[in-house]
This record gives sequence, structure tokens and C-alpha cells, in this order.
Amino acid sequence: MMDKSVTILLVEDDEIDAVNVQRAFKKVKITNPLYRAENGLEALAMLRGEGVEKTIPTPKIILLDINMPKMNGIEFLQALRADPDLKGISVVVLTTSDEDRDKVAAYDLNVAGYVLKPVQPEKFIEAVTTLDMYWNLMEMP
Amino acid sequence: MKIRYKLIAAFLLVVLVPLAFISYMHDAKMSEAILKSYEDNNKSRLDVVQSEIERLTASAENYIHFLANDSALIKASYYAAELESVQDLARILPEARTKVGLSYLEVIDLNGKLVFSTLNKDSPYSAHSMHKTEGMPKTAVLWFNSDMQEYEIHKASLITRKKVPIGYMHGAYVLDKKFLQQLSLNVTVSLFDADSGVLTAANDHDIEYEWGRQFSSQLAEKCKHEIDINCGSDAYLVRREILHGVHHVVVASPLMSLAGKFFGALIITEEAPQIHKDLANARGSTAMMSGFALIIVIFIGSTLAAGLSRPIEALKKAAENMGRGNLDARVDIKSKDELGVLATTFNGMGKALSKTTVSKNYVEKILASMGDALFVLNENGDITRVNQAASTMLGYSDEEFQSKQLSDFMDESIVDDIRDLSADYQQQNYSRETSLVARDGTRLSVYLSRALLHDDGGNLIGAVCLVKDISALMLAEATLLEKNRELEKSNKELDQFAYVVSHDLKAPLRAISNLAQWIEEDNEDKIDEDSRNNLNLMRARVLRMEGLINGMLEFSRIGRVEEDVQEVNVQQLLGDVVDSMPVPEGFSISIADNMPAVPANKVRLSQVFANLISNAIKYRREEGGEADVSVTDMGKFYQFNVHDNGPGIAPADHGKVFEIFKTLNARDKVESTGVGLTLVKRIVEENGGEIILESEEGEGACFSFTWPKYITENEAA
Repeated sequence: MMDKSVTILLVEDDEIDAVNVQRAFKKVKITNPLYRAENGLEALAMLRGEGVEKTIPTPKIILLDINMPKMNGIEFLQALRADPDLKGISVVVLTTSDEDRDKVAAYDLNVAGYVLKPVQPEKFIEAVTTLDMYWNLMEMP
Repeated sequence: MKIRYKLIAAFLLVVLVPLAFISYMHDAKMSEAILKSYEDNNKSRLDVVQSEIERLTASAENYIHFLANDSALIKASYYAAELESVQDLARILPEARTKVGLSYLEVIDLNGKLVFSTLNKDSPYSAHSMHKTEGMPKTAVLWFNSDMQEYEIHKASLITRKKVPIGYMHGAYVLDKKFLQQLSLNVTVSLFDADSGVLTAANDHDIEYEWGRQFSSQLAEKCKHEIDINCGSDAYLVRREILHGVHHVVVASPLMSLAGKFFGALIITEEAPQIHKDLANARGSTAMMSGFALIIVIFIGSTLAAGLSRPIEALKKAAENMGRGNLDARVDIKSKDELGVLATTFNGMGKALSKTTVSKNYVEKILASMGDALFVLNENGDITRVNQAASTMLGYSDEEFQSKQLSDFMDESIVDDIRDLSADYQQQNYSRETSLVARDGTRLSVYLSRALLHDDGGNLIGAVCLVKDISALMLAEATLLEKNRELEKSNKELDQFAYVVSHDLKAPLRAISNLAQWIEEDNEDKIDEDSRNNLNLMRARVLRMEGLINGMLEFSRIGRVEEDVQEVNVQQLLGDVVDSMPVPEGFSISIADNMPAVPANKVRLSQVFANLISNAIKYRREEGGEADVSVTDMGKFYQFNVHDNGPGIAPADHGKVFEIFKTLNARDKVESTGVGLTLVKRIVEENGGEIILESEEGEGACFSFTWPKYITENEAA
């Protein structure tokens, strides 16, 4: 079981996709606090406490969508890695984009994984289960 | 100088030289003849004088003898007066002298004493005549006294009836001026003394010619040696003199005494101005003859020369004409002489030339009708001529080109290349695309090629530049390129569009799927069996739609994404494909073991084989289904064949199988998106190959596709 103090930030513009993640977490019994931002800008604001209340403790894991309004996932990653306080956060991309360009860009910015959102709900549960196992295996700072 | 004038000149020379010679000879002969006639005339005159002297001599002798012996007058006087002495005689003798016309008469006694003379005592004749009586012969002699004028002394002995000699009598005719004047000759007659050479008498005393004295001494000299032989009174000396520009004919003959002694020279000198007139007349007629002859000669010469030179002129004109490039020049000479033969030969040559040579005119026409511009350069690279097309292309006239350099309308770098006729370029021709600037500043795209010009000896004499206006071609090419780019862009956009659309379609699809799932989960005990079934159907349709969208995504990705190409071992690749494929029981797949390696993107080639093999499985017969994969070497290509023994496809449907989203069976029967074969076709064609279907219904199907052995330039790029 992952340390319950580890908070997770979901950056996702689609309401249903966000609910999907929440339901999957519930199903897989991941009980860590899950915050949600609707785009990159909002996520940065929450991480830094700019204009909104800063998320404390700072999330150690971010689930990141790519195609989002205002600031997309890649742009958010660039800003994140450029920020000395935030650059160490582990990011898993959770997206519908099968573009090589996005994959290469994401890995260049040191993501911990790149997961395509499956259409079938069962497949998504499998994916989240795998992530949970992965996180359990990893030691967090 | 024209040949005609040469001929006339030669003709004149041939005729004039002898003519002049003949004229000269004729002239000399004429003057000789004229002078001769003058001489002859004067010889006759001399003869007249001589014979007159002879007559006088004879007459004087007769008179003396008559007086002395037979004269009736003397006898009568003698008898009548009983003349006993010469003194008596003296009384009657003057009368007698007058009667016989002697110049004088003298009587000398036996002692030699002059007893009577008709002359005065002071007369220069007296003393001498007495003196000369001594030893005189009895007969009359012609006596000449060197101190005196010529005269004849005739002496006779005077004898009485009783036969007693009582003395001598003598008388004479004096050859003086009076005598000469009596002869009435229209010429100068002069007498010279033989001993002293002094002029003794002349019919015209005013004239004394210097040569007369010399001449008489010459005559004297001659006669001293040739006495009695050639020096008779018919011996002449002749000489011609020109004094004060007037011809003088001088004729001389010796005066001989009765005793045959030379005592003086008789000289006739004729002033002959007439000779000049005669000579002038003679020369005038000669000149007239010559002039007449000359005119005839010139006329005949001109005619002859014209006859000769006319055909030569015609030949010359024809040759010049031919020289200017008109090989059709002919000459019309019908004569049968050498000129005629020459003309025939010339015409034959012209015919042969025009047959074998491309005439200048013909070349000119070709140049003028050429559509491409032509520039001829000399060995210095200067423009020597251009054709009509060049003028039209650049807008300069022929004359303007004379003062133009290539650099006036061509880039310097190209001009340098063209003008470089050095050894490096000797063997090669030069061509490239460039641009020229026309007179109005327009820039023309052209294709320029330059070839070197050599003379017959292989020496470089210049170059020819052919310039083709390719502006239109370039424009068309640019337009084509532009269209191509647009098409490519539009294709890319289409692919992009397909990608974006399919990607964005997937989001709501996923949401529907999720929501259906959640509805079922959240209302597990409230929904009935029908609703649950419907929800499952809904999820199945969502799945099918996802398949379609994925197919579309895949399809669009092939043209959209550059893919990595490497050498792929097809044998190994086919093994992997079959291994990762669920093969139903009872279905056998055989793969030939001669599979080659080809350049390909591994994933794409896998997709091709996977689709074809999975199709063979999907559409298999109930039992004993088979698929075999083989390869054929086609040279530049390999042809891969996937052959099955399934139900086959009717030929009418062959085209449809490759269309996107087309399936021949209902989707509920055999789950298929209708993308597979479309994808295969696109991959094969993107890689430069093609796919063929051979099949009859119920006979199985064979999908064959070709794949290049090598990557071509285009695909590598």
C-alpha cells in the first residue's frame, strides 16, 4: 500500500474522464488524497499557491492529460520541470493522444509513464491497478 | 587591266612596230630617191656645161685653124695685100675676132714677140699668152692659166703662100661669169682652179660655199692619181650638205683640157628647199597610210578582243556570282573553242556543287526560320552574327547586335564560361539554364548551349550559342510544383483532419462507454435483463466504432508520419507475425523458406502480412483451412503471395475489397472494420509496390503484392 500521505494531482479537463479516474481509484481502493485541476495553468497555480490555496502537502504524483485548453500537458510539463521546487514531481501521462510527437516530448520531460486512455472501462481499471502496483513498488522521497 | 585592253594593246604592238619600221624605211628610201633625182638632174646640168665647153673648145680650134689656114677672110686679106708679115695681118684680125666670137685673138712672130693682140697691153692675158707660146704644139690646145680665169687658148701657125712660116696666132674663149650666166641654169655653177683651188668663176658671185674649195681639191687629188682612167668629164663627185637648215646637193666633175689635162673643177650646187616639201609630202602620205592602217587595226583588234573577252567576262560574272554563294549561276557560251569547253566545264562544276553543297542561301533560310536564338561568336568571343529569332527574343536589331557584347544581356559568369574557348573546353560542349535580359529589361529564362566551331583544318575559329526560351516551360513547371505542393499540403491536411476527427470522436465514445458501464454498476439491482442486454449491445457498438476510428487513425498515419526504413528479414518477420496471431485449430499456415530481406518499415510490412494472413483465417472453410505464403523474384521487385483455400471472392467484388470500410459480409456475422485491405493497399503503394487479387468464387483467393528490392531516391528522400 502506498503511503497515505502522498497526495495525487489529476490534471484533466474532461469531467467524465475525471470521474472515471475517481471511480477507478475507488474500485482499486487507492485512498490517497486526489486533487483535480482543469488545465495546466490551474495546476501550476495550485502547486505554487498563486491566487488559490496552495495544495499542502505538495503532490508527489501528477496524472496529466495532454490535450487541454489554456495550457496543455506538454507546456505544463515544461513549466514544471523549469520550476526548482516542483521539478522532482513524478508525472504519469494519461491521455488519448497516440502521437509520437507527444510521447517523445513527454519522455524528454522525464515522465514516469505514458498511458493511453482505453475506451473500454474494464481496460481502464486494469491500467489503474497496474499504476497502483507501480506506485507501491516505487519509493517516494 | 581588263583582258580586252591587253589584247588590243598586244595587237597594236604587233602591228605598230613593223608599221613604224616600214614607215621609217619608206621615208629613208623616199628621201634617198628624191636626193638621187636632184643629183641626177645636176649631173645632167654638169653634162650640159661640159658639152658646152667641149663645143666651145672645138669651135675655137676650128676658128683658129680657119683663120690661120683656111679663112677666106684672112686669105682674102692676105692675098690682097700680099701679106708678108704678121704686122699686116694685124690690121684685119680685130674684125675677124668679132666675127668668130672669140674672147681674144693674138699673133706672135717666130721670135715669140707679140705682134698683135686684140687685148689691151695692160690685159692680164698678154704677157702670159706670149710666154706660153714657146714650144707650143702646132695644133690648138686648151690652155689653162692658174692666175687667170679659165680660158681656152687655141694656137695656129701662120704660114705665107710661099710656105714661109711667119709666126703663130692664137685666140681663146674665156670661161667667165658671163659664160656661166649664158647657160641659164637655175643653180649655182662655179669653177675652181685645179692647182690653187681658188674659185675662178661663178654664175652668182654672191655665193661662195666653203665646201666648194675643199671639194675641188678633193677632186684635184682624185684626178691627179686617176688621170685618164676615171677622171673623164663624166666622172662625178657627189655630196649632200645642209646649210642653214637647207638641203644642198653638190655635184662636181673635172674640167679636162683637150690634151686630157685636168685643169679645174666644175661644181653645181643646188639649194633644195623643195626636198623638205617633197619629204614632208612623202611622210604625210606615209602617216596617213599608217593612221588608216591603225584605225583598221584598232577596229579589227577591238572586235577580236571583244569576241574573246565577252565570254571571259560572262565566265567571270558567273564565277563571281557563284563565289557569293549562288550555286545556280550558269554561263551561256555556245562556241566550240576552249572557252566553250571551259563554260561547259564550269556549268558542270556548278551543277555538281549545288548537288553536293548546301548553298549559303539554304543555310540562311534555315537560320531565319529557326525558332531558337542563335549567336555566332568569333575566336575572341565577339558576336559576329545572330539570327531572326535572337532579334525577336531580345528586341535588338541586327545592326544593334553589331555593337553588343554578350555581357550586355547575359550574366558575367556565364559569359566567361562561354568565351572560355581554352583547351579545357575544346572537346566539350557547354549547356545550362540561365537567364537573359531583353532590351526592355525583361528577364527571360533560357536554356543555353554552346558548341565550338572549327575550320576544315581543325583550328578553333569561334563558337555557336543556341538559346531556347524556356520561360513558358519554367512557368508551367513552377505552376506544377506549386500545384503539387498544394496537393501534398491538402493531402496532409486531409490526413490531419482524419486524425483529429477520429481522435476527437474517441473522447465522447469513451464517455458513452464509461457512462453505460456506470449506469449498469450503479443500478445493478434495479435494471432488468432487457436493459442490461441493451447496455451490452451499446457497449459492443461503441467497441465497433472504436475499431473503425482506430482503422481510420492508422490509415491516416501511413501518409502522415515519416517512418524508419531498414533491412528487414522477411522470413523472421513472417515467423513473428504468425506466432503473435491466434490460429484456430485445424487451420494450417505454411511459409516458403526462401524469403528474402527487403528494405521496409518493420511494423508496416508486418501489418501487411498480418492483415492478409488474418483475412485468410477469418474467411476460411469449415475444415482443412490453409494459407501459404510464397515469394517470386521479379527483378527489381519481389512479389509476395498469400494464397488460401477459402470461399474466394467473385471477380465483380475484387475492386470493393480494397475500399475503406467496405465489407463483403454483414459485420454481425464476421467482425470486420473494413479497414485492413485498404491499409494493406496503402502501405504497399506508399512503398512503391502494387497489390493484385486473383480469385474466383469458391476457388480460394490469392493476394499478391510487390515490394521493391532497393530504396529509390524519392522514397529515401
